[in-house]
Amino acid sequence: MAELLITRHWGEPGSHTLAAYLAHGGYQALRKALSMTPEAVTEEVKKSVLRGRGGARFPTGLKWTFVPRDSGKPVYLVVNADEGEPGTFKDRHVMERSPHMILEGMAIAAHAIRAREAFFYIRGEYALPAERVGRAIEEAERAGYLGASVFGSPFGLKTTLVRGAGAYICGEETGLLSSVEGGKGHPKLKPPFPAVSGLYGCPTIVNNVETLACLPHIMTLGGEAFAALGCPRNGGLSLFCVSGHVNNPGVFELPLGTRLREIIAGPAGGVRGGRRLKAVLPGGSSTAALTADETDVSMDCESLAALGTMLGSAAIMVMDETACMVRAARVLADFYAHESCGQCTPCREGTDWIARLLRSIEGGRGRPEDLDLILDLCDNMSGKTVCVLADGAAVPVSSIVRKFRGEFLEHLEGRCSAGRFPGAAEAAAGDFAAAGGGR
Amino acid sequence: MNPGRKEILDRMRPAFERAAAPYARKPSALVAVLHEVQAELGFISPEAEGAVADFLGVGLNAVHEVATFYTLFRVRPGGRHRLKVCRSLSCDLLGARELVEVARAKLGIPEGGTTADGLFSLETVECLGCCDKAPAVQVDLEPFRGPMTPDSMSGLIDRLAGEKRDG
Repeated sequence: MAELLITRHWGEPGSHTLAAYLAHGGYQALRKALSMTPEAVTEEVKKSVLRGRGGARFPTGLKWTFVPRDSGKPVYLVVNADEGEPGTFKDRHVMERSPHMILEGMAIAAHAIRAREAFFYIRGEYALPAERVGRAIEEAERAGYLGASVFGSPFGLKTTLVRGAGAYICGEETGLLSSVEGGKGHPKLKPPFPAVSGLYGCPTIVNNVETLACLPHIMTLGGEAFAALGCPRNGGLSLFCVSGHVNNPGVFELPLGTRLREIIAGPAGGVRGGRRLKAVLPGGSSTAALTADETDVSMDCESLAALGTMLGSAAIMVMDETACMVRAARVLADFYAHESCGQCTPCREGTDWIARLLRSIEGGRGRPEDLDLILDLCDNMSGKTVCVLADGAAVPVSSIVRKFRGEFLEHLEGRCSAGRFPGAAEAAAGDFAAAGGGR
Repeated sequence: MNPGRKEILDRMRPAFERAAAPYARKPSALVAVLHEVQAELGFISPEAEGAVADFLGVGLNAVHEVATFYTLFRVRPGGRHRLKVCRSLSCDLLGARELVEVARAKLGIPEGGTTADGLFSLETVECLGCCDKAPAVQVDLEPFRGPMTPDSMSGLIDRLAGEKRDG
């Protein structure tokens, strides 16, 4: 068992306070980083093979190098705490239990990209995390770890806490920036990428909470040692969120490259009630489902890609034999239909159309040709929109329709081997329509 | 009768100024200022949208489109307590639908409805980020509750209703 990094002191009461953080050596990694040039810090992070933990898994150090040095504009750092991917709850725990670790990482990142102003964007529903982070910012500013002069050095960082107001799309980095600018969370076309033209048209780096919380450990251990905790091309330990039909759902900090089956059977306590495993979404709701036979896989980007899915936010959603996959697909489709921002036609129309088709199949009113229609709609959404929400909607739905086609055929005949037919589907359908189809 | 545009602006100007203070560019404070309005009035009335537009120096459309984009904002009055039941996958797998049914029956309202006494609105929402405690519920902006059962859901509603009577 590797040593824990982010979660190491989570069992201690008051772990979120500055006093507790300092007692465990807090902010010494920032002191070390400030004694290094921004380029040297970036180089260390590159060596760590840290890849963005929000879900895109882009190498963090490389992302930082895209900030132009000669733009003459201010550089902004934005903390993405708009955690909203179904199945994902790790960043909430980090904010509630170790907010100073994020702030220390934020200051290290700001030094590396030469930012002097940061925006910490927390989703609106996360009231307790926002309270903890807000208090931590005040504590850190008073103690000189953030603010006009950090450690009495010329480096200073102004931090503004921004509260979202309920919109998954604001977790998409350009949608988030639109929201910080005071608008609807509409994503913007890339390129230009935010590193070149982001907040207010200025160079901007958006980093996820967990990504930033890794930085103090990279500074302390050294990049190579951090990388060695994971597996090739996937540096470090990762926070895995496990939920659904398991005995012990929670956040588990484990090496990247741990096998999915072992995470479910080990820390997550195994499938609830000793039932048989049916399906797993390995990296959040936007990733392709795996069947039980496919779960003996290493949790790293490349191994999961080889199975046609993704590591994403490392949020593992487990479904046992009692899960109805038609219903699961419909619940997922409802999510994307509700959260589509509406600016691109393929996504706005496609997500809603798929949700309606799945609802009719679930309720036994579907037509056999609807299955191919759903797959066709998925094809016509992917890669045809400003952001990847449409892809995120298409991937899990099409994977479930393909891998569990038999269950869809059952529903077409008015049966459900998971015992979910006709059940609650009709009630849910009526409610959803009454609620305005989500808007 | 809703308070008027000018009345709201006069009354809330100090709160608006505080919310807008961190932003070098004033229109960026729109979401923050709308949070203030909703905390004060319980919803964002047309008059309040006008007050916010006047304060920020932006058009009424810019305010309305933002007020209607985000799910936490509401542009019509609702219940004093918002009961939000998460309906995303992990919560659905573990019985979120049953929680909604209990609440519907107990409150006598559909999803999206508000009780006649104005005490409760019942909402189903997408992933709260509390899947480790699924099925999860959030009352207003309180810490998440879970894992909920039909019994604990029923008890929660009783307690909240009791607080009202006692208060």
